[in-house]
Amino acid sequence: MVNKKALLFLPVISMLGMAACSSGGSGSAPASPAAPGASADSASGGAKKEANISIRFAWWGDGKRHEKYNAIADMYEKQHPNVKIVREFGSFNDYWDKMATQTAGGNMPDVVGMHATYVADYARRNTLSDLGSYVKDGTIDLNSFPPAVQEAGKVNGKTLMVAQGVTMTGWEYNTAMFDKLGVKYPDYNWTWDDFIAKVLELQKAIKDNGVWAIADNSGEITSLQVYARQRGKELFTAEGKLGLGKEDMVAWFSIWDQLRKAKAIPDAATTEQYSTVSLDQGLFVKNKIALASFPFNQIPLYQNYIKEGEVRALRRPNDPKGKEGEFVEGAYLAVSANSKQPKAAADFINFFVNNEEAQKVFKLEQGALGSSKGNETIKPLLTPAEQRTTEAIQTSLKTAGQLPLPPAGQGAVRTLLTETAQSIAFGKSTIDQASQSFIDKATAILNK
Amino acid sequence: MHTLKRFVQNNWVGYLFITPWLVGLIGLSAFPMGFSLYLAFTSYDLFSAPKWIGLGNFIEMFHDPKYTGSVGVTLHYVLIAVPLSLLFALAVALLLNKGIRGLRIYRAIYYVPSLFGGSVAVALLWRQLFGGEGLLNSLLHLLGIEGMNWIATPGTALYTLILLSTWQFGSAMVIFLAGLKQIPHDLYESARIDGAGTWKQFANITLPLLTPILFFNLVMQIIHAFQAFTPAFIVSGGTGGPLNSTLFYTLYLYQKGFAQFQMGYAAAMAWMLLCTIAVVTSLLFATSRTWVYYQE
Repeated sequence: MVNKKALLFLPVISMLGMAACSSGGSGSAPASPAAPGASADSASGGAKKEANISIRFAWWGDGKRHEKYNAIADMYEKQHPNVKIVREFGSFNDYWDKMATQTAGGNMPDVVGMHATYVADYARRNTLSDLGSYVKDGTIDLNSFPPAVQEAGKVNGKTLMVAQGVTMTGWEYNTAMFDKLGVKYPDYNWTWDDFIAKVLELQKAIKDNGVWAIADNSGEITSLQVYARQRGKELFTAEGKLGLGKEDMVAWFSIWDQLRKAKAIPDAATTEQYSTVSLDQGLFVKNKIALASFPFNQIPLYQNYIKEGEVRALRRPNDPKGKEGEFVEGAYLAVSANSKQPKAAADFINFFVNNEEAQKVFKLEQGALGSSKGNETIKPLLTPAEQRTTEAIQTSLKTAGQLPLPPAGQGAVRTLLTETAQSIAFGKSTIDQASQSFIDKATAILNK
Repeated sequence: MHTLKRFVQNNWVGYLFITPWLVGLIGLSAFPMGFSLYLAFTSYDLFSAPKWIGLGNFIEMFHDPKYTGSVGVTLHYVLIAVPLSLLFALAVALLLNKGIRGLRIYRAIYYVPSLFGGSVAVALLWRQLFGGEGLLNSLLHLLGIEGMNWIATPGTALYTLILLSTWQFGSAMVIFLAGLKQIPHDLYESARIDGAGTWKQFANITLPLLTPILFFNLVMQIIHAFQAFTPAFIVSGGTGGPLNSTLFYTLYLYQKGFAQFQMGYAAAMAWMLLCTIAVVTSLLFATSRTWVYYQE
């Protein structure tokens, strides 16, 4: 009888044993890497190039963009047969949600797409590798990157990211729509007065319900940042505090209120509904608005979906009595701090930004290339839409400045601005009330 | 000591067999729950170690207008969606119980929505249906009515979600049907002989004998409604809807935890929800003695 009961022990012990073995090493905070990466453990530390390694690469984009990233990853794999690039991608909003969760779980991909508005958060939490040593020893060659672009990739003097592309945001319009409405194209360098006049002119010419002159930009934080700089202030000061006062917010919201009263911007419900859809489902592609605001490097993307007419760029309206407000934006690549193959990751980044074939595939996906040599390489390959993009970016780069690094809490302020703008749009609060409430709440967030 | 030894002697084999499940219970349920309770009293941003702050999260919650707003939205949702669901479930169950032909088909048709209604795909579809140029507005247009943007207007967004929840009445309906079939027919016959009309029969026979089923459905639906997340997340695009009108409690919890990296606060919210549901359920159980009639 004792033997029978003892026999029962065997399957239980073996099962517990198997469970323990497979989850071994997951006790400490950084979780074991995803299955494909497990083989890397045996290859770390002075292993020959023959050992198989895999690096995870994550980026954001839409369908067309994914094709390019995949093509470049394929190219790298062909050149380095022992490296496998495991790819992850999603839309811009989903990407950051997922990245946050992965980072928290110690599971951040090796190479990640990074953005200036998020880098401060990630850098602050020490989740990005310092690439300085790789730049110094030549693994990442930044010699053909203009100093300004190299600076843009630094946080507190440490190189944390490398530019995939440099771009700026402005306004864009569809020539076909303007022709149909019989309105002259706006001037590239237009002032706020020109802006309002043109929008009102457009609205008068629009006869259909459900078509508007321009998108409602009142809740968009980068627009507010440029507006602040034109008034000689900053939304987020270098010390991380709120740099605007109530009068600035009232002035900002009043512009959009004027347009709202003229019915030149979509109603609050429409704006809200379209705020989270993908590029090809948006108001501009559906010809429901004549003017939209997005980064210049997306012009070719939009042109893909717009068959009638050309998508052309405009600077943000400037204040002739004020300062230049625009600042350099772009997309970058970074290496996570918990990456098990930082050198391979750095090598891949170098390939991505410097390899001629890769440059020819990527072209202006995220704006003008970081490398000036690269920009020369791709010049003969640009489509008309892409040429317009480069022109716009190069022109604007002449007058653009650098934005101070966003503070912690900038995400909360971004959401606050959208909600405040919505509250005005839906008529729930007056401009005065909303401006005061925004200042109060933003100050509270930034002072925490 | 004596009984413990005997207990172990008699039962150790059984416990051995369920060891895998016990490991799961402790590792995947008990330990995480305990840790989450600990986190509720800390400030934890996922990247650095949790910092003990005592009741700080709970105090902040009651001063947070978005928190009280989300509680309001969730209560609003529960108090309307659950009675509506149960009403439809009972009504359709009564209809189907009359013994119509094709009972199985109708039952299946009404049950199917509750199977996938809470899914992402249906929520996306719902967003399209009730959007500015959605199907509903097209139909209204045919009737000459100018429809509005149902999911993006603060006043109506929540009601589209309530509608989505009510559409999934099928699971409660199936349970009601089973309950209706258990009521003995001779009760109805004797009542008819005594001259009772349809309404009297319903009020004095059907309803009282259904109260156990009603109670079960009520408790299950309320618990489920408090936890609603997917439809709110998808229909509002993760934002909590126009002017936070669809900011459900669970959605706000998600935002706080995963978008704003305030895991301590989110854990505190989770435990508040657990306690609230526990209180509501116990209240329901306590009052059930007065209106639930169990025939033995």
